[in-house]
Amino acid sequence: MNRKHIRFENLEPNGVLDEEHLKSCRRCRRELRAYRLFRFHLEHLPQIEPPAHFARTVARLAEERRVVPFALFLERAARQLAPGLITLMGAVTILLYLSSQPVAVSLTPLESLPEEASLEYTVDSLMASSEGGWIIDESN
Amino acid sequence: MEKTDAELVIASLEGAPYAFEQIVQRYERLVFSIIYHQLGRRREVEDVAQDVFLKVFNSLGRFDRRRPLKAWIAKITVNQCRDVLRKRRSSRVEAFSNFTEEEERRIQSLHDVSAGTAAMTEAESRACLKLLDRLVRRLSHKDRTAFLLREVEGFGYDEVSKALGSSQVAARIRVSRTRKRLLAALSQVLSGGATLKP
Repeated sequence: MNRKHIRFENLEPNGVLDEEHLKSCRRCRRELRAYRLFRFHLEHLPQIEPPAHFARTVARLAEERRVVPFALFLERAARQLAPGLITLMGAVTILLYLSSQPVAVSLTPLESLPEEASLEYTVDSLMASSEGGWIIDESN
Repeated sequence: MEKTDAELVIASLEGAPYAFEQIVQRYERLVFSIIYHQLGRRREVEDVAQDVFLKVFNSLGRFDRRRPLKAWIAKITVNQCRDVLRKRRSSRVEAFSNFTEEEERRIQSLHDVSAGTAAMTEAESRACLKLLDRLVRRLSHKDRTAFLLREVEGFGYDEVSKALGSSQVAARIRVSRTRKRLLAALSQVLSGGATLKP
């Protein structure tokens, strides 16, 4: 006779039973009955259903009480500010670049031009002055 | 396509509408069941469940998204129940066998179903259920938690161990030990060797 009793405490719901042993062992048959009842009752223990709108109510309540962790706050702020910061940095870079270029602006003392100066003469004079030179009035 | 737990957690952290609501919908039955079987008081379940989900919401930033959300929520629920039981100054839970009328009807129909397969009398059925109920609520907090998560909620041992904050071996031993005790008691009742006090 097989005296190796079935260990029901370690038996999983779909565990394989030693049928040969069960035929010859009264104790294991009794325990098998208890085991089946045990599983049956476990599956039918009273349950409680959540109310229909529980999830919505709790989610709303959670949103109202939202506590934003500091690290998350920084991360979120950085993400929102990033496009603006990039644009601003681009604009500043362009401005710095432009301001570093030498701008030679000098005013041509128009009053020094002869009143009857031709258009061609005036343009030449202005161009010459923008190159840093002063007009030499050749007519004098 | 249905979002994964990790995707819902990220969406919720980013403030996406309905993301957290979906998380609650996914796990509300589990949380209600754990609380009910831990505390045994129907009237308390909804309030405790609400506290659990608010804790979950406020701790989402600390959740390790590589781990299962289910076990993490179960752990928060179990800890919340432990705190409630501490406040009661007793780890004993109320009987599930303080049945409502609806549950009484269910027990009756259970007996009808089980009678065919297990050949038990209604008195036996009722005695088994009461005994099981009584024994479960007399278990220590950790034994009860391990046993219910494994046997009622169908958790794997890895999930049970995470919810308990213990090793898988310890979780296995707890479940096995509890099964042994409950089976021995049920076996005694069936063989007529035990008396049930009302």
